[in-house]
Amino acid sequence: MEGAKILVIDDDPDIVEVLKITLEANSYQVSAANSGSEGLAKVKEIKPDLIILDVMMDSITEGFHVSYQLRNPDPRSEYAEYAKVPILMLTGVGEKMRMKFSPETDAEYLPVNDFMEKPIQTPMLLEKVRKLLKGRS
Amino acid sequence: MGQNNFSLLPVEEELRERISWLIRLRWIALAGILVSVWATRHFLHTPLPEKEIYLVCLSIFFYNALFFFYLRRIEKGDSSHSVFSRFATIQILTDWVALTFLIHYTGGIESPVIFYFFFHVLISFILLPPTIFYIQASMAVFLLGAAAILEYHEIIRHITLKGFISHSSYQNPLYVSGVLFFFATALYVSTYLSTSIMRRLRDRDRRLITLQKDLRNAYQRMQTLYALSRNISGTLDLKEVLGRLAQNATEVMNAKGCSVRLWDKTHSRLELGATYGLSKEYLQKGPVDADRSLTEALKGKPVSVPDVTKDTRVQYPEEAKREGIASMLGVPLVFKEEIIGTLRIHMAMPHEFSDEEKGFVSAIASTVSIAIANAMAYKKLLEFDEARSRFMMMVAHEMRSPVTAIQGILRTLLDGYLGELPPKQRELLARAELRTHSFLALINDLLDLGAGETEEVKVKVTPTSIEEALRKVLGLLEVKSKEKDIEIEVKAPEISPVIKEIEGDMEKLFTNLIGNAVKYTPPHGKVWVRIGIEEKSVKIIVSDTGIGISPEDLPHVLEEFYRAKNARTLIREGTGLGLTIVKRIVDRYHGNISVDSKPNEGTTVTIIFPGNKVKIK
Repeated sequence: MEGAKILVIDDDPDIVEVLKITLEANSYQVSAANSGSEGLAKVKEIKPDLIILDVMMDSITEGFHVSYQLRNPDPRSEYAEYAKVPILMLTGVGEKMRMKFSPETDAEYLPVNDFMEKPIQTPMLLEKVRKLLKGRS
Repeated sequence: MGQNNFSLLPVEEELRERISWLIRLRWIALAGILVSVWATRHFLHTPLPEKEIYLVCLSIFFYNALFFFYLRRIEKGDSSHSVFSRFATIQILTDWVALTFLIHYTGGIESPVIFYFFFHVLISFILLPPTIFYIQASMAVFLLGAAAILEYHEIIRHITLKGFISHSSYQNPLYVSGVLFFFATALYVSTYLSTSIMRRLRDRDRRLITLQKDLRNAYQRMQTLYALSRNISGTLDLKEVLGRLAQNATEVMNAKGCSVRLWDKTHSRLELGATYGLSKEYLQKGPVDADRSLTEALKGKPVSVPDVTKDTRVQYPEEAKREGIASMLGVPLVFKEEIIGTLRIHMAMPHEFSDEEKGFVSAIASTVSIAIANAMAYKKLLEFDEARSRFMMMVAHEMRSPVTAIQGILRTLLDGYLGELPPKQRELLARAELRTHSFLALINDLLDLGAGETEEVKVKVTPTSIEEALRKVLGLLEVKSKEKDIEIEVKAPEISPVIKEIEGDMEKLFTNLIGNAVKYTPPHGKVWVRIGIEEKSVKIIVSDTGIGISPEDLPHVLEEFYRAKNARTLIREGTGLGLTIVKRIVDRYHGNISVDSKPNEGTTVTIIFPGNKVKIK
């Protein structure tokens, strides 16, 4: 799905930059937000096809809250129309702090489609992005 | 504390036995009378009204038989002490009537049988309470006097024992009154003497019994205290300790309820720790002020409030009354001469707490204070541990974030997203990228070590197949070992032993062990992994044909950050934490680790997990 719009929400400008370069080189349109609230605003503004979301931003769980807002099952929610946008969650300290996530075990309370642990391995990132976008189209 | 019934004095308890003894004695006495009558006639040739005497004997026989059966009947039922006491009195009175008749038929006031009254005086001292002694003595005097007077006036016939006395004096008023006087005084004086001795004896008895009772109570209290202390010390959870204290103290004291409050030094107030038997409404009555409620307890003294409604030391008398609390006892909880809180006993009835009770509750408090202090210390420890875990997590995030960003940037450059790089620049950037990998590995190792030992209390423990963990790790190491053409040979039992592990421990163990073996073995070498079962324990051996460890380095390889000289020269990256992590894991399961090595030949690491930690099918 070339030209798909991807929104990266991460407070680390370097990570954003790296993701931008890599994804744009693969013909995706990348927008960035460096906080949860900015991210939510951008979702409405650019209507992305995929969201890449960092867990730890201002607070340890900011990314979780963003995903809860986006996936709110209430049909009157202001993000109701984006409830189906796939989310790829980036985690910083996952496995090492016994916080290993996977869609199989954590999907119930973590409404995201996939996880990826930093440092980002480019081939894996591209594969996951491709897969998530394919599932959407 | 169960109150034992000690109301019976030993003399009184003896009464039952003595009554049957009295009945047996009476049979002998009866035989004695019959023999005496026969002997009097045959040897002394003194005429006796034998028919009448035999009649008296017959009545004695009948009433004694009656007593015998009656005794058997009341012995079967659970008759009270007073039944036996009354029975004894009746027997003695009946005997005296019979004795009076015997006296009458053997010469009335002149009869030598009158001395036999003293037997019964002695018997009644043994059997009956002192209050009845004088009545008994008067009764005897009355009976003898009546017989003498009736004979004197010849209302009844006087029998003179011819041959026994030469001159009858039954109508000599001086003789009659003289005998009666001395009989009466002898009887009263002996009654008086015996009574005073008996009183003292019984007092001593009573004191002995009180002492015995005290002793038994003290023993019971000791036992209660011991059981209570054991029960309360059985846990390290502060809430549980306080809860058990409140409940046990309530039960032991037969109280309505109990509350335990802990002294909050920083805020100078008493915080409710636990309660038992008290309603929510009562507990929500408001804050308990240290200077308005049983203040003395916070100064180290027990405070007894016999009636809450009339005591200014009670902060909430109305609420207490509504709750059904009539009296209270507050004692301090003291640890190392410092007041750590108070224990309060609430009673449903107005009650003046005795010194003994105060002492007992204080003893409970001081015994339990140690358990409370321990639990408080443990709680603090857990809080510290939690804080440390949180800190580690933050550190991990803060440390990893920049490194992952650096790595990402370097990789973007190396992947050529921003154009091709000149070879020299590319090489240096590649080296920098490589260093970020070892830096991340170091952070990960530090996290493994820092994640904490106490944490395992909270972490879920799952049974894991040791071989399965090994296979997983081998899969991850495949690329690296193939790169160096290192063969990994595995030998494991058909059915893998299972260990109850904190998730990931076995994987971590094998990753470090085999990872090291591959890392420090030159290309084309070999690594062996063996899982064996030995006398119910599990043995894991990892050996390699690697660079080995020199004898100087060998004793230190399990130390944190220690890297052998040859290891450092061969491979730059490496944290020196790998074997330390392995040792931590082995220790966690009470296992044993040993490292054996020869430079340039290879290294063998042997780990043994004890049988109680592993399951072998």
